Amino acid sequence: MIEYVYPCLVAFAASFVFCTILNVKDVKVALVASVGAGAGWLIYLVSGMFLGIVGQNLIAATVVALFAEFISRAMKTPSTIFIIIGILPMVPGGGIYYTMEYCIQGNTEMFISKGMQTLAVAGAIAVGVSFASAIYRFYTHTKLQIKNKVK
Amino acid sequence: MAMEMNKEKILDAACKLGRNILENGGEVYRVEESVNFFLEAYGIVGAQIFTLQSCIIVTYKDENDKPVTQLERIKASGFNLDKLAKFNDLCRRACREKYPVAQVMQEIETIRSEKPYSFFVLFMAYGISSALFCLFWGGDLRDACVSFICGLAVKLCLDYISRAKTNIFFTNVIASAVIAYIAIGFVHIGFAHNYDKIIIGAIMMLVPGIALTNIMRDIIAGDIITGTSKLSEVMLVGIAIAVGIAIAMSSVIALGGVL
Repeated sequence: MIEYVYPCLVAFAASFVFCTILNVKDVKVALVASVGAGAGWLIYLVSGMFLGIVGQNLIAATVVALFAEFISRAMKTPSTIFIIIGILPMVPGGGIYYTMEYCIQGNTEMFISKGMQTLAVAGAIAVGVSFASAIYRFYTHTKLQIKNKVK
Repeated sequence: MAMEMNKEKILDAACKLGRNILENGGEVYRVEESVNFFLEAYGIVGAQIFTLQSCIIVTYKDENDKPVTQLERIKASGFNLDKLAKFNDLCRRACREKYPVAQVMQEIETIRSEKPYSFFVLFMAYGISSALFCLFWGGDLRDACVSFICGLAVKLCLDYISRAKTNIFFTNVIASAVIAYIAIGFVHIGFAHNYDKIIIGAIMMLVPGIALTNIMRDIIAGDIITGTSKLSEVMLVGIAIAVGIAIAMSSVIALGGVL
């Protein structure tokens, strides 16, 4: 249990403090966004039972971005804010570091495999986010059409 | 003629709005949509908007079919999400309630002149969040303490070096070399254990990760040129960080230290 709760709490706290660096001044927005980050990390960890690292990032990013799309309408704030902060824990900082460490060591094989994995993770997050925005647009479009038909 | 002037002012306001959204971290599609919304709300229909990460070009045809163009050159952009939200909100409000253009320009200036957080608050935030990211990536409490110091050092480096108006490459080389020296130093004297975790926590502050993810989004959204040009910028920052850490590590090894 603790191995799930602890990283999520740390992810929440780290994202919350990072909001200051990104100049988010509204505390409510910062709180909601970092709750999204923590929840996203929980989904990442739980989906790790069934999926590999790329799949985990894809699922978690999709959920975070869907959350961002819905909450941004409710809070009248651009979804970008919730997305950037929500995906902070997934951002492949470690991947970038280990890629260069292998490069410096001259370990070409690991350098390439780690580098490809980092790019794949970044790509998975991006696909997840754009997937979510496509789902959201589809949802609003359908809602509008149903509304028009009822009229 | 009066109408003409007016249209040019509308164009100017739209460009300024787009510029500010872009400079504070808005995506290309958001800028294009906002500028288009604004122009249409103020009666300029069918404008052509082309946005890159470094410029915005807006053209429309006036009554005599004469094209009118304005170009905004953007030199630097960063993340100021508070201002991004405010400009986005201003754009929506202005479109809905049809503010006079002068009022829009004035509000743009007001938001522009808002101060970011004070140096001390940011300084602390850099330290605390790199400590927390160090914990997040699996460092222990002592590593987090060292990462806190590294975060503070990053902020100092970024501020002092960028004041000298050097390039982005040099700034990142210095900042990451400083991080690596501090991390290796503390591990060497036996205070901390994992210099890799400390460094990862602190280089999160140099943001290649966020930028990398945003670039992928630009590319998938179809803004390929912006995506690839930003990608080269991130590669530059990434290489700078690698060079900085390599300098630190190899000089430590050269002086007889063990990593």
